Amino acid sequence: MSGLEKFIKTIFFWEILKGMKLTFKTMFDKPVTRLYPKEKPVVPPVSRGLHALRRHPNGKEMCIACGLCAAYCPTRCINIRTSENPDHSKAIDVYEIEILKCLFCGYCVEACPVRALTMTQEYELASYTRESLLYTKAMLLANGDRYVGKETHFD
Amino acid sequence: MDRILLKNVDVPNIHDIDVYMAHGGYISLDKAFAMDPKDVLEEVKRSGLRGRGGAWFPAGMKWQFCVEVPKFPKYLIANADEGEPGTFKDRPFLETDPHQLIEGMIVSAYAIGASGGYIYLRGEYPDGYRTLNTAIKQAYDRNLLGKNIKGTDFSFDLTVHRGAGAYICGEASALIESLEGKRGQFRVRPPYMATHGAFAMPTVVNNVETLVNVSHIINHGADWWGSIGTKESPGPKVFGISGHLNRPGLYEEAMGVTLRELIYERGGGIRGGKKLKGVIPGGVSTSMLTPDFLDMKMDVKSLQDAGSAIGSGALMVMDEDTCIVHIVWRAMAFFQHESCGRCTPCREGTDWMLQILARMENGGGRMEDLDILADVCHTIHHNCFCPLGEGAVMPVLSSLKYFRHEYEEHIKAGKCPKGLRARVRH
Amino acid sequence: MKTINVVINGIPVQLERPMNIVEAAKRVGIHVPHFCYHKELTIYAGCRICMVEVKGKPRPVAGCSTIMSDGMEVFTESEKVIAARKGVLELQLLHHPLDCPVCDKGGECALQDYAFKYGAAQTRFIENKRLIPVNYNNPLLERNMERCVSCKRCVRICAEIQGDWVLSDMNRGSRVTMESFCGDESECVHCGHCLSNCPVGAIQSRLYKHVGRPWYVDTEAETICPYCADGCTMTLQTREDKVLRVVSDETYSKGANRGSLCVRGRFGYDFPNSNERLTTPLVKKDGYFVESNWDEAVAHVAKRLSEIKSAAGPDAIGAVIGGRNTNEEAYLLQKFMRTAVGTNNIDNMARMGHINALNALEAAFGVAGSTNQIKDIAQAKAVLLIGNDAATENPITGLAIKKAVLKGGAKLIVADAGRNMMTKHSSQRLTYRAGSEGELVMGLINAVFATNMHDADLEAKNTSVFDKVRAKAGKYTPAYVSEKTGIPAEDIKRAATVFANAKPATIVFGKGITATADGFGKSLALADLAFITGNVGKPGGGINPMASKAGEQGACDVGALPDRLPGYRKVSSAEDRKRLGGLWKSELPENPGMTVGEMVEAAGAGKLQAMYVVGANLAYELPDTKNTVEYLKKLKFLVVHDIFMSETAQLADVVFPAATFAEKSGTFTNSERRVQRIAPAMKLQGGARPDGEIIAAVSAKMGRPMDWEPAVVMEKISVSTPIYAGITYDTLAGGGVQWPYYEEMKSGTAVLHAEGVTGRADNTDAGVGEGAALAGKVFPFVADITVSLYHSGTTTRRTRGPNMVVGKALAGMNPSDASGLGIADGDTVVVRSSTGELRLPASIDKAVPSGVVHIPAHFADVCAGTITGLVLDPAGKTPVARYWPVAVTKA
Repeated sequence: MSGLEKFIKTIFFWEILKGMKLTFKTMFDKPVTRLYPKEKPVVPPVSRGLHALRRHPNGKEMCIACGLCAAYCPTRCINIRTSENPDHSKAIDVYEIEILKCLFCGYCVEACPVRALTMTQEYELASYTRESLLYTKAMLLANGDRYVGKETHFD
Repeated sequence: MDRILLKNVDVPNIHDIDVYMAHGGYISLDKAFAMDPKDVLEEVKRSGLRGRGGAWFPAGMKWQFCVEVPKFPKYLIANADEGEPGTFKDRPFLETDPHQLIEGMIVSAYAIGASGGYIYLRGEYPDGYRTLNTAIKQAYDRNLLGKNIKGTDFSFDLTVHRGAGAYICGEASALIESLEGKRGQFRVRPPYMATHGAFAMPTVVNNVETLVNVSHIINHGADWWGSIGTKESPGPKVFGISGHLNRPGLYEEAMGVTLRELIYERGGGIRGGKKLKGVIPGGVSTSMLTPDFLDMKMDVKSLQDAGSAIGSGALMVMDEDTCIVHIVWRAMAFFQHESCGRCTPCREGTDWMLQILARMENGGGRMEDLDILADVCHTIHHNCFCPLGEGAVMPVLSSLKYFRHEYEEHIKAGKCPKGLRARVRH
Repeated sequence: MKTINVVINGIPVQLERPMNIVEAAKRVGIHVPHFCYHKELTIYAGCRICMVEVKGKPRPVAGCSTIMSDGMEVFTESEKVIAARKGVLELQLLHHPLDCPVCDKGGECALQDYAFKYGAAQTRFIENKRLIPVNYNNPLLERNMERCVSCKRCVRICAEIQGDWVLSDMNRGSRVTMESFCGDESECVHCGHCLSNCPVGAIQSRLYKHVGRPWYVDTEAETICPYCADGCTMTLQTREDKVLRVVSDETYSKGANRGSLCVRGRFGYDFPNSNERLTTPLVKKDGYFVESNWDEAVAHVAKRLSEIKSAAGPDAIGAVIGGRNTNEEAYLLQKFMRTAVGTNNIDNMARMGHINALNALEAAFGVAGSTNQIKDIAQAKAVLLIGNDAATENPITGLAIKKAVLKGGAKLIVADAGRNMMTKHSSQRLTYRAGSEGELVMGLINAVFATNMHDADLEAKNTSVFDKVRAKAGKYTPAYVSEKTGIPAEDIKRAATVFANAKPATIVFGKGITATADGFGKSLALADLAFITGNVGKPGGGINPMASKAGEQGACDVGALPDRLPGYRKVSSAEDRKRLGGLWKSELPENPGMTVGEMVEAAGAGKLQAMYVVGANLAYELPDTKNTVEYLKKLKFLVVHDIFMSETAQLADVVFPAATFAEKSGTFTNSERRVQRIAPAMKLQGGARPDGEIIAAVSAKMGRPMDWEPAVVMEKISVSTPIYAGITYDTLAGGGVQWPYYEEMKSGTAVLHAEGVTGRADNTDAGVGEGAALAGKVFPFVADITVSLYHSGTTTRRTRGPNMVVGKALAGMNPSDASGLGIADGDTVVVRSSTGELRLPASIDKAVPSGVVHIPAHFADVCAGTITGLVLDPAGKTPVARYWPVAVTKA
């Protein structure tokens, strides 16, 4: 490198300009960050969000309460209590997921033999109380109803 | 040949003891009682008499096992439960000429040392039940049965027991279970019937025709009797020939008669001059054969070599218009109905095969069904508990071997080429 | 016999006896899949899944029905075998519904496991599956025949072990189903053997239906059934501190019961979950219970007891412990009474009968306990079952008797005054008049001597005892006995011949002997009968008294008796008092105390002022309910520990909520002297505490602190109670120990007196009394008051299972009696006696002898004590209330 070239580069802060090149370039790009609470991200369809219990088209719950999700759950956060209906079918008395314990590993969904349990794109789960993070059957069914047709995750 | 076993069937009132005795009946008793039981047994052994029920086990050897067990009383049971489709060879001895059976049983019981006897009669033979009971009563009246027969030390009681319509009770151990009042099912062996048979006592179960032969062996000697038929399966045999023949019926022949003789000479050829398609040589539980085997001798060894069995000698003849799939379906319907339900392969396998065959016959067959049939047959044949299952696969296996093209025609056409349909049980 | 050398999967195995391939493979840890094979049942060889390859055989053979012979080489996992299993499984699964997710067997199902291991993922079966409606004929069992693999284990166990032949295989071929013949479940005793033995989900408990899954189980505890005194080992499974279900040992080898259970054990498990459980200590103020706390209630009890003690003396206080309590609790209570209170007024509910048998056996042979063990009975060649319906009162003993009959060909003689469900297995049934039990036993002894069938060798050694017995039996000639008992003389002679000629022969007896007048003398006569026929000290022989509740034998053993210290040492013996007093650092009272009956009478007379009742429901279990309640009300102070608000607790001044067997540890001693541990399966419910802890707290408040932790108490028992010497929780691990325990052999004693017996240890003698006919002109019937198979008291009334089968009391009557009175099945009848009357529906039952009304003892609405009176037998002070004269009329 000649002395002149070195001199010019020095007085014009060439190295800095070189470094700033990326900065200037990205000034005109679309930003990758988002103003999260105001701007909601588009969640990919296979993301693992809040669980949901699905219904049959006739409105009946799909879950047969086999307990395989609870058996497979690595953190044992699923609690199911069942009893017998007068017509000898299986009644679900309690179906709870303790979201605070949940890892969102998706094993429960994988275990479900009737695809009644699925995961949705619902990810905003923060809450002020522990109690509200114990998702009951009604809450999970309601979540399922919100996502009718969108639970493409494992289907 | 001259008839030996069926010699008297056309004599009027041969079921009456006087008529029977006038025709030389019960003389073997005097001969036998003059001998030591051991010698009677030896004579039977020497004759080479083999069980006529289908397994062709040497009768003398079976008796020997029983005699060697030092337990009393011993029982002798005549297996008159011929339930296999196509078999009717014992009927003359049950319905027309009962004394011949009773005489044979007395001699056999003498040889074994049995004091109790049963005739396990097929429930569907009501005439036989009446005839046998009358004959037994007459024999009791003449002191041919009961205590101290003919003044000797030998006593023998005989009872007729009617079955309730189960094919499996034609198998010796299931027969004994049924006789004891239990559910007719195959027994786990060992212990064998020779040591723990009826009521846990040594028991011999023989086919009716086997026992009938015994009195002739004693009457005329083992050498004479053994000279009839072939060397390894000697003696006269009653063949029941049925199917598409001009003259179906019972024919007594020496062992070793050819299939052609039976069909074209005795049976009078195929009805309507049609061509022969196949034969089932020994009841539906034996493999069917093609016309290529027409010159085969009807004896144990020849049929074994041909991949079939002589069974009970119930020959069924099928002409060219027969639908093999329909025949196999019909046979399977029988086995499915008669499967006792004890072992899994037979219970479920026969049911599955029946449904597949019915579907095929009604036009819903698929090529993979043939593999399934072969697989199921293999499973049943290798794993089932008793001979019923082993017999049940024979019609399927043999038809797949010789008549596979018929199955394929059914599948390709989507219906039975002969226009037949299978009834489906719902 | 020469050993058999075989090779299984390349591993050489030595077998000392011929066995089948499945068992031989188990020896080297190889599991051969099977459905229909069970080692306790006959070989069926139907499932064909146990196929194995034997070298040299062209086809696979069934592992269950093939006996191994020398030099055999077997492959259980070869390619050929796997293919065969796959084929069989495919067929097995053809019609099997795919409802594993909702099948309660899912997760512990043999078919599931094998299908996972060998089966194809997809079926080739495209036809319609077989549809069979689910069978709900049985109140406790559901039979789903679509799931059935036709292994017939249910049918075989029902016939071969339970001996009831309820189930049979109907139809044949692919239509075969396992059901009761023509839907008739009337013979079913709901033992649940079929349920525990089903390898798949075809037979399911209706109590457990859709309630749990195997992986929901939090804790699993091997424990002892708290109901009868057979002491059955069973496993409690709990989830979130609720009992989920009871499972039994599937291998049928563990414990005194060898895996078998009866309806109470298997289905009567949910009382610990009951919401009727007491949760806090209750103190009565102005006639009403007020919730209190532990400290206050304990202090209150201690204060009141101390007051009464100082005012009226220690003997004004009495204590009773019930049959549900453990040995440790009984020990603590008697120690509390003898040290803190200072009285011998301590008794337990064995006083209702069993104590007579223990006293008689002690008098006869020196040891107060059954001479043999329950499973020994199966080896007997003759069994005399007298005054005990083993099929309902002690069902597992009943199974041992049935095994003797069904497998061993033993002759069973059933002697009873009332209904006896063992009759169908008997070779002879002797129906005597109620009250004449003694005459019958003496008649048998007389007949044995008359025909010289007694043990002559034994007589030579024990001439004096034999002479005494012979002299005593002298007047009981067959003719005389026949007149008294109503049994034909020939039958008595025949029974004596059968019993005396069978070697070994055993005697099983129960409350029909012990809870009658002269129960002690009658028990002694039975001991004599066993002795003179030479059956004592022999396996399969001996004499087995049947206690009715789990804790009875143990409470007696550890000294909860008014005249005995721990180990049956006499209170009157100064030496024993001194030894124990030294251990307990206390002066022990020397006067024998009062028994239960005496305490109640003394309460009525005002002599007894306070009572401390632990787990006993006196106002219900004692005869003459009306007066008993009156007397108990007269007490100045009554303390009751109970798990429910029982009839007695309602009368109490202070009620402590106690823990059930599922929440505490301890030991029970069963009828055969076997000390067995119970283990807690769940946390204490509500505010309940173990009885031992409560007693210790009260004792501490009264100035005598005690250790109450069961393991520590057991160590103290082993020191203070000679017969329990050496028994600690460590030695009890693995199935319990039959006392006496021998340290050097590390085992208990299965058969007592095996080294020989000399007969009458002390010179006690008692007659059998005069069996006067109970029934008279005014009261022409005899009420036979017994426990039912389904109920045994306070606890079973709060369980779902038994109540689903038998929910109410029925008066069993003979058809001829009923028709004579114009009573039809289901009509309400009035059973009236001198003390009261009962109204309950009649049940026409051929099994009830003529002249007898069968009254079940344990129902809430119909209290059998209403019609009986409190009469104490002079010898044992036992209430005589098994049979009572009554009149029956149509309501």
